[in-house]
Amino acid sequence: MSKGQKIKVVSIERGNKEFTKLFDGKWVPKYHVRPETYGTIDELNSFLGMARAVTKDKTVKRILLIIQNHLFVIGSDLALSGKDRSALKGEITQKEVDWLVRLPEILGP
Amino acid sequence: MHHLFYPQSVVIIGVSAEQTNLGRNIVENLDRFSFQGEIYLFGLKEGRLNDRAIYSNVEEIPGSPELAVILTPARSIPEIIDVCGRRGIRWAVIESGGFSEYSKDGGQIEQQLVRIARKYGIRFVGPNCIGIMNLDNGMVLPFALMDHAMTRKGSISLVSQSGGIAASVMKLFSCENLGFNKFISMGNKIDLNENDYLDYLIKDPKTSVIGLYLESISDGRALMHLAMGTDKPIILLKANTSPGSHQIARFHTSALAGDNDICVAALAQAGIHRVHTLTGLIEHFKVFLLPPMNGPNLAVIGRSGGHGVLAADAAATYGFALPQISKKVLDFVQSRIRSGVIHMTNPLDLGDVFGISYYIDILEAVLKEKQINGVLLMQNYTRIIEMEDIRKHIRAIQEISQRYGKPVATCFLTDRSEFFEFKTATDFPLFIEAGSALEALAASYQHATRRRKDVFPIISLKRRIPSSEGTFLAGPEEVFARFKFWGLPMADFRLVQDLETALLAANEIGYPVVLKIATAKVLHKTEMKGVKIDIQDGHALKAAFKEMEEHFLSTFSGEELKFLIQKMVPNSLEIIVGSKYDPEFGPVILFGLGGIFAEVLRDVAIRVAPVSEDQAMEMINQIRGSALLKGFRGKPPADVEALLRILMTFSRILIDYPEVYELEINPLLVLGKGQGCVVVDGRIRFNQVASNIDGKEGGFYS
Repeated sequence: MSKGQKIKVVSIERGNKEFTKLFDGKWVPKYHVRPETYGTIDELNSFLGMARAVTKDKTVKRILLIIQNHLFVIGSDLALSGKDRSALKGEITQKEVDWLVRLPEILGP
Repeated sequence: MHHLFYPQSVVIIGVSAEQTNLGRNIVENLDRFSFQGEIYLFGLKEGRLNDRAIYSNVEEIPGSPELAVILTPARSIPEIIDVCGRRGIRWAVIESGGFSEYSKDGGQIEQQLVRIARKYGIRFVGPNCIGIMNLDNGMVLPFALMDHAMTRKGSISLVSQSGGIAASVMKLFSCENLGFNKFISMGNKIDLNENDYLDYLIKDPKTSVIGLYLESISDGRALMHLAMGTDKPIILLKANTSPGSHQIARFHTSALAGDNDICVAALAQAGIHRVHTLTGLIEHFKVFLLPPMNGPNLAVIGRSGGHGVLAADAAATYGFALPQISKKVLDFVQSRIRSGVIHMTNPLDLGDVFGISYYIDILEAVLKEKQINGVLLMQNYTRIIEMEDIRKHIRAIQEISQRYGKPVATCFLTDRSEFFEFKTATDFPLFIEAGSALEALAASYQHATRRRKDVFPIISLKRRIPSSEGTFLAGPEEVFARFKFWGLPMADFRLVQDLETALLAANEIGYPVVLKIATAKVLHKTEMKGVKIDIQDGHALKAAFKEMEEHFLSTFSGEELKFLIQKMVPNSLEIIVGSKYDPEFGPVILFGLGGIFAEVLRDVAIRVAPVSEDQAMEMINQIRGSALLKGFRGKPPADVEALLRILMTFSRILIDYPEVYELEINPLLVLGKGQGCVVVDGRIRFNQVASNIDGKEGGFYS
């Protein structure tokens, strides 16, 4: 994803004027979608951090850290949405997306 | 958990026909409160208690009870739970004491109990508690006899870590004629804890207000998460708040927050109303039975100038405004007064108005005023008025308050012969004085106006609480590389080991530069003569380098020294952003102005991480020194937007990277509006899990 491109929140159904339904079935106020999204990303990232800490497999450790770093950048992007994001140094490009897609292939069966 | 509070059948274990047996009190309570489910009794000896059989063989108990209530010696309980498990019982209330609260042996019995309960999937209350009460179905389980005439069913529910406190709150409920719905005495809470009960009560349609008495918090982040997801008011009386000795602060900023400071900040962040006394708890319960206070504008109506003055002071203390009452209403009041010697204003002094019915007319006229959000009504009666009139009068106040959807906090004070008659005249809550009533009304205002956008995901980290043992400070190379990766704006820097590379680095960065010693062993660089600022040229750098090298070679003889050459940032406002790992609430973020502000004046804002945009802005506005950030005495305003971004990013690092035990940016320089912030220095303390993380493999240095 190139810098400046908006991240779309997936699986949001049409709701009423004030609430929207997330893909896990939870209804949230519309203004709550963005923090809910990067909160969820942080939750996933925290979990990956624990997984990285407990695994003894160096390859898995390395892959998890890379994914974590990507998620941190995405989270920062979402957290600062609508604000001047010039402070952000990292960005997620097509290269990172391609790497993630090819990951099962890299890891093998 | 519905089966725990609404079982179809209950077995009381530990019953005998002896007069001194406590188990029989539980049976008596169930009868007194007309529990409609089946009641079975179990004891060591077969027998009868009134018209019920006491079984001594568990196989003989007919049916299959949903809930077991156990009051037998601690050592017998693991086996009883095993029997319950085999009979298919999945819920238990264990009231007996003698477990971990009593002795080491008791602690072992407790562990055995947990193992057996888990084997069968049994969930239980206690041990070491007085049980639970549900007035909705008459399931009253305390082993002390309860007086049915002294209790009233209502919509307040209480969870208490102490049976004694629960009992006292029940007495206060009786004195205040307040109704409750469910009471839970949690005891040692080794299985079900406050969050399990809170989750249930939040969903319970019969509960509208929840009270908690806690001496310890099982999982602070889970508690916050639950509180943030409900509109029901939660009032917490938290005891045992003196600072713990287990946490040894190592960084400046971590020492700035005591355990109680963090607890205060976390509860406020979650919208939980904290009280400090039992009477405070009761006053809050009463206020939350009234319609919500939707704004800050209060009208005070009373019969005494003195009470009006006290009320005006209390209104100011708790952040209420006393707006002008319209001329139309004041004219209406004038038409009801006798002598006309009292000046009409807000507080409205009705000392000159006689006739109880006029009060209701005036109250309604005031409540109709659009600018008024609620009323403090102070009634001082004499005994010449009939009780029936009083009853009618209170009912009229209650009806009118509900009709206009605005709270009327009504204070009545009379002599002891009438006091409880007043209290029991209706189910409308009455207060004694303005101060305590307005303190609680302020909580209602806070609750009603809590901005929805502040609701922010707090992730439970219970399973990853790191130990402070084995933590270690990261070296400057790691710290700066991490800061750079996380997107924190750094003053340009190079790590060097000798004078030659130092001079090259300074030329690349451009003078003026700063020279610093770069080792994790020097915590306070300035005090240790490890910082030289404003170095203007190579000649000055050469002198400074030699001096510093000589100084530290004598301190760390035999060690390889590293130095940092950093771009000199123009003089600007210094900020400290730090963190602390709290055993109850996990990572918290601290923010304050540098210099004496944070460290001497302890002017810091604390939040549980992560923080939303609104919460970060609240942190900035909260500190007393925030005026300096907004421009003060001709100084230009600082880049608050940039600071906001740093606070949010910082708080997310604490969540996303579990190896970060403590983190500090000190100082962070905030430049003028639109010019951003610059991180000058900082520290990271990793916990044990970080020891097997190789940053180089992950690309931190790429």
